[in-house]
Amino acid sequence: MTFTFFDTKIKMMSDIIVADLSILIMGIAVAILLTYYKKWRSLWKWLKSTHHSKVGIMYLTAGFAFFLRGGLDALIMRVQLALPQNEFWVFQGDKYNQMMTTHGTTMIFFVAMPLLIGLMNVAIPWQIGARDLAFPYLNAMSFWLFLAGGILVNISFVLGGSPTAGWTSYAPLALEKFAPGPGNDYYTLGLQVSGIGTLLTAINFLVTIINKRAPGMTFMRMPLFPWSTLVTSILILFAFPALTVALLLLMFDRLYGTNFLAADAGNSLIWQHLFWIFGHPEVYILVLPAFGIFSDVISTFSRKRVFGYSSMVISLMLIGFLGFMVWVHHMFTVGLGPTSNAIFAISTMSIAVPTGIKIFNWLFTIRGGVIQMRTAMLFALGFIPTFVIGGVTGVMLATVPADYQFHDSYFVVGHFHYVIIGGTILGIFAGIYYWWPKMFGFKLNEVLGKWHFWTFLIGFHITFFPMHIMGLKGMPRRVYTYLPEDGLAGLNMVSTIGAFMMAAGMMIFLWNLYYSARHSERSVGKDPWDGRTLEWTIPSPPPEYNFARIPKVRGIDPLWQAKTYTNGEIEAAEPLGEIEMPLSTVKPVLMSGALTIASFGFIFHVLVFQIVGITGVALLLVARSFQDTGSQSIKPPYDEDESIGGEKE
Amino acid sequence: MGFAAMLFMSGIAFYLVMNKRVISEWTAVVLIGFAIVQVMLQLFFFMDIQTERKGFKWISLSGGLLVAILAIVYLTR
Amino acid sequence: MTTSRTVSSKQFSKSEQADKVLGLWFFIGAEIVLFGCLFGVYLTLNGQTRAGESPEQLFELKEIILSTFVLLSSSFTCAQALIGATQGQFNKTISFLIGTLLLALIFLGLEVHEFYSYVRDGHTFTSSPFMSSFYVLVGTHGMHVLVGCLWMIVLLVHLGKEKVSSYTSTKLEVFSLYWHFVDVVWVFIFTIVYLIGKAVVL
Repeated sequence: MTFTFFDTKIKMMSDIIVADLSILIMGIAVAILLTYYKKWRSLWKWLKSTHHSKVGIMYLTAGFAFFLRGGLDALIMRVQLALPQNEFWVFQGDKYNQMMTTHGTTMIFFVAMPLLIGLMNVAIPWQIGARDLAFPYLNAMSFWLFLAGGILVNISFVLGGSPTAGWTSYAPLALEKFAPGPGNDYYTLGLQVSGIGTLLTAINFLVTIINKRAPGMTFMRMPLFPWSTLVTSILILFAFPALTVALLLLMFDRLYGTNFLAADAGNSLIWQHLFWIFGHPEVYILVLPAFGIFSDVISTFSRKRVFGYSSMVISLMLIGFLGFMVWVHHMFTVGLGPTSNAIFAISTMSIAVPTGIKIFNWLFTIRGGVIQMRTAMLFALGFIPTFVIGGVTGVMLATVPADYQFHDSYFVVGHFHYVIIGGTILGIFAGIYYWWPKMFGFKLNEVLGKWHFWTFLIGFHITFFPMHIMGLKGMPRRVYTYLPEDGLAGLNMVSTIGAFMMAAGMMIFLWNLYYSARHSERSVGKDPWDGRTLEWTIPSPPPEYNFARIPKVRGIDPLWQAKTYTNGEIEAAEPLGEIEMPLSTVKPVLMSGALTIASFGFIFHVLVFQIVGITGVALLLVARSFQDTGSQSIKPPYDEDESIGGEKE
Repeated sequence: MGFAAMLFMSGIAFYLVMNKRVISEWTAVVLIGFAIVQVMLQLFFFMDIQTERKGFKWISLSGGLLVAILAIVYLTR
Repeated sequence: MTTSRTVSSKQFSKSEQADKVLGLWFFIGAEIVLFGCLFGVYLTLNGQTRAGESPEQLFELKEIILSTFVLLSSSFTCAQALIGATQGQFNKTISFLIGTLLLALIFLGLEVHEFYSYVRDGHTFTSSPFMSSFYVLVGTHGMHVLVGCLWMIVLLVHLGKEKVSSYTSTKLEVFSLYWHFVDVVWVFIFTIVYLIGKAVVL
């Protein structure tokens, strides 16, 4: 069965019918639930919200939904690869490429980044003692742009086919000649739209952290999560424009027939350079916030100040700086010459130094501490050995002659899953367990949390450790099958079993969310973990304005300092008064809607949609320009007893 | 003042190219030097870079330039 | 209980102004990378030309002198408009801003004319990698000028409604930063693309 969608034929194969049906069923289920619990109005309020923690929670929700999608892709790939010459459903050849590309793209751009940005959104204003980000409206817009991009890339599966050229989308493979159909146009436009959103977020966090810190919180008194966010934002700021240009060129090549990236005319290396000038900082964009989360978590649950604070800050900056100097190590086999390769091999290996400093500092923070094995701490402890393995394979890959063997094999797949899951995803889980009581006012269940941790971590190692060996045995990346005599069958089977174990861990996590929401104790107080930083001085969940009175900070770990010296009381920096908070607005949603329309216009070559979409964006920008003042003035209730803030628990 | 200097410098740049047609590598370097000086004039006279939070303004510019120059060097080799 | 009410005043506080200015500086940092990459692409591909299409055969320096003069002047008038706003002189602000807008429109007209003459001679967007990269680099700058023009029109409406206030002067300051940056990019475009492209470097 086929039907035509703007001159593009769409074949209704069984997998697409299943996908369509599941989208339909989920849509109806959500609609019924919303109606049943009478939540339409509050959904509308959330959509309009520009408040940092609400936007952050929306980021987390959306990121998690994409996580499930990306995970499903991963399971499909693992089932297809479990046995030699397997034929699972339709996922061979082009369909397998679609799965693998969507998995990579989704996990990097629509899972890891939004989950981290979500945690930043939630926690940064609390940790630096601010009421909101510097530009709340821009923040909401970033979220909606990211969501539009994510939806574009994900909807492609049922509307014309997903991108097929891998998450790196190398030219000339990604050009019209070798990848016909709308799939890779979804990739260029989806990433472009969400990339703009990410860039705006970075500017927002930079200005917030630089200008909105509470009085007395100098840079060297900031917790390490804001520090890592600051460095990450700088990386985003300088890395994403390169991706913007690369995607622009790819889009022109595919849609308008220019010759930037082809092999015969133009230059395919342009894509590789631009992509990796973006792509390598991207790796650090993913891992640095996780480092920040681990620093805070480890210090809280060891009941010790983080060891070597200033060296932690300096190594963050060094990693950030070196992150821009190493991109050619993805291109060792291109043949840029021995000088280039040597320089970039050395710069790549030198990143191990600041990273090693950080690892040792975490270990020394734990040493002699009063360690509490909470779930968040477990994730942090699981991270350290896992990430070290990933780091070591990273240095192996940086060795140029060896890289000629490792390149594009499963060794690389094993390596980057060790750093991205072992760093970023474990960090995200640690952050979620750590800040959950502050976000929602109840803790996640510890027993289920520990089950989640152990199944996920063990499943992870079972999945990805064999991949190193597969790679050394010569299994290339991005293939959908292999022969029985290749000697890869057992390893692949083990890997598939591990993947299902990770999926089980995720199900436990989902069950934990539901179970805790129903059964967890409601009043966790302001400070459930005996914390050290400013977010634990305000009620859980905090009022809209966070701090009724902005606190005055006198050192690192202000709450811990106050607990030690002043009986937990923190001085306020201002008298209690009316607080101005930003207004809700629906314009960000409309703006991302307009960009989605324009994107569909480009993907399916419909000029009307392009014009309507872009005019819509322009009009909304102008409308915003005339409605950018006005605020909601809130008078917090006065409470004599409070050390800080105006509200009783 | 800055404006006059800028006009003067771009005037010289155009004059050099219009009259010589064939220029040495050094002249090309001088042309780029002129461009950089003009940019500096813009930054200091018009954009008030030396006012508050100047450290971050310089970080923003120099970081962007660093990545841009790396990109140009590696793309064109 | 908390009480809340909606207030609206067309004012920006000092801290809001500082946030916006700093935010635009970071935006400029990102734009530098964007244009840097586009220059890189241009310099990589400017050798891949068709016959009769090389930079020295194509470019007319006389037009470029004119548009450079126009754009540099617009940067100057924009700075004057901002000075007017900080001194609270409404007439000076609005007249210099209108002047900036007119100069920007002249620049755009010259650029459209230049592109039109190339396309008329058959040097289109797709005719060679050199032309493609030229159009993308110079066209992206042109898009920035176009956006600047629309921004100025909106600013003029703001100024007409609110006169010179903390609200309009903040908006003007942010715009002027953007505008000077667009000018800076042009300085590099006319030097690298036009001047060095036109001359034969030994």
